[in-house]
Amino acid sequence: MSALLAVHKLAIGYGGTALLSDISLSIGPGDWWGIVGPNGAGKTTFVKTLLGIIPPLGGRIERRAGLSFGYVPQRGVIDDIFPLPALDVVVMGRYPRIGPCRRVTRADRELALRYMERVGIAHLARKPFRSLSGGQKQRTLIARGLAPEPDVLVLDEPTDGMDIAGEAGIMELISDLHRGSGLTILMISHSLNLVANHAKQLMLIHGDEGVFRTGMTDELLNGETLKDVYRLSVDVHSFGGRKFLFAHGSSEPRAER
Amino acid sequence: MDFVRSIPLLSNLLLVERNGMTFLDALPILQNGILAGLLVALVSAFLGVYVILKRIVFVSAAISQISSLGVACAFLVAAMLGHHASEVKSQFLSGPGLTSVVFACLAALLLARQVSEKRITRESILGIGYVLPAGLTLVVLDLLSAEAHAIEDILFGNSVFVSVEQLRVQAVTAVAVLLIHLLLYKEFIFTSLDPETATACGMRTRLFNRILLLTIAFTIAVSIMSIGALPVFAFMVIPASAALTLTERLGPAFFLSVAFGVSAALVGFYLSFVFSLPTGPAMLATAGVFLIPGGARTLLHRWRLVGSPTG
Repeated sequence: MSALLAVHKLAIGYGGTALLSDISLSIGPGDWWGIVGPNGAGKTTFVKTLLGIIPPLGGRIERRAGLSFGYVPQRGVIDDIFPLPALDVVVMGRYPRIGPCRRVTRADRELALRYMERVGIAHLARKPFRSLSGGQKQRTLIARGLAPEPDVLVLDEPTDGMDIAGEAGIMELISDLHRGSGLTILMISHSLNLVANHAKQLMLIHGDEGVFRTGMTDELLNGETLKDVYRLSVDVHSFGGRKFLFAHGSSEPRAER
Repeated sequence: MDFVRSIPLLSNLLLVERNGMTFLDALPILQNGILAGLLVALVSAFLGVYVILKRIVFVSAAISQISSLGVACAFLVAAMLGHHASEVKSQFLSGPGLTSVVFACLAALLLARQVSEKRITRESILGIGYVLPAGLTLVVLDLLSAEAHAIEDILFGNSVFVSVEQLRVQAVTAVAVLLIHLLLYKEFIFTSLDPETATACGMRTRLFNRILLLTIAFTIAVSIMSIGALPVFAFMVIPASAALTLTERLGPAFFLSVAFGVSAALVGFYLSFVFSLPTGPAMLATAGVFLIPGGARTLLHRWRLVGSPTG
């Protein structure tokens, strides 16, 4: 199969309760998917099911033989109680490649350091991870996601809680990675403006409404579809080659969950 | 003896007398207890780093109580079949030792399961897992009141007089557990720090988590029969807590934790001889001293933060 990953009639959810079902999708090499939807829509559940963290409730996922993932979780999931230098966190990305009962080699550490250089934090290699700023932690986790040299990099809210400079830096970095090595990207984000200006493909998810739509970002990201998903009027404007989205009030009351 | 007398500080320490016997004279009697204490301290303090980092302190407490219930049940079943406690004790490995390990390992596997916290919290499960077996153990002890002393020896440990068989079991456990941890160190650390990412990267997270918990459960089950539940729990928690407040790297944290644990076992055992104290609590109290440097460091750090212009 030419796709890296194909999903057929997939049902996702927790504890036997389906959040979304009948999902079919194909992800190819060099794709950049933005995954958007309201809070609790099922974005993270979908991604975790793709990654094998949560078992699917139905359907099947076909992965190309030897397909590898790099995963960048929300930075808050890393417990600050662990006394680990940033480099050791990045080297962990190599562990699955090294395999059990084998030691980390100098080559693994050098590779991890190269990825820290790539994301601009090589100078922080010896600093405790827990003492880093939010943006530095995020870059460390991106370097860890890259360390296994994956086919697909999956990022969950990589710019969450960042200031505008941090956000721009992270998005520029992801764009460079995508352009430079053709890395396939799947990125969950709440920022429609970021997704509109970076992602080529789009997944719109809203579990409560049974919405799962996919398509090219330019075609799918319009006022009409966003109204279906967010129950909100959103204007999409283009200026200087960039898209800007403005929300202006709820168009109809949202059902209580 | 003359050689020892010629070393000033050592002679003062080893030739101290209690009840007409010097520590040096008592060593042949005490050596199994000391060795067992050192082995328990070494392995428990090492595993304690995981216990603290994975925030499963009360999982280890619950496992120790469930393991104790396993010991009590072995005696109860034997009594119902008409066997005397001394017979059960002599068949230690096939009797209470086995039930203790089986109960502890089953508890570890059950507690490793993820539960939906909508109706009952994980904290509640741990509370029940701690207090219910503790109560049931007391009930069993009451039912077997005539043989309670023999059982208590196993249940609460008699760290002074440890049998050669128990010492062997303790040594084999220590070697096996440390070997497993040497081979799977990377896997245990990654799956403890970030289980979801480890799974996404293709690691068998559940398997490694179960192996890690089983090594903890096995160690607890074997160790409480050597030195008692309270000191084992203390060695799982105190040295690792003390070490983790002093370093920013994992390697030194493991090293310091083991060093603190082994030192506490050795000094605690010695102090218990000198001052006629119960051995387990003496080790526990000595381990507590190692919390002082980390506590002082934390206080100093806070004081500096408050004192700084930005504080």
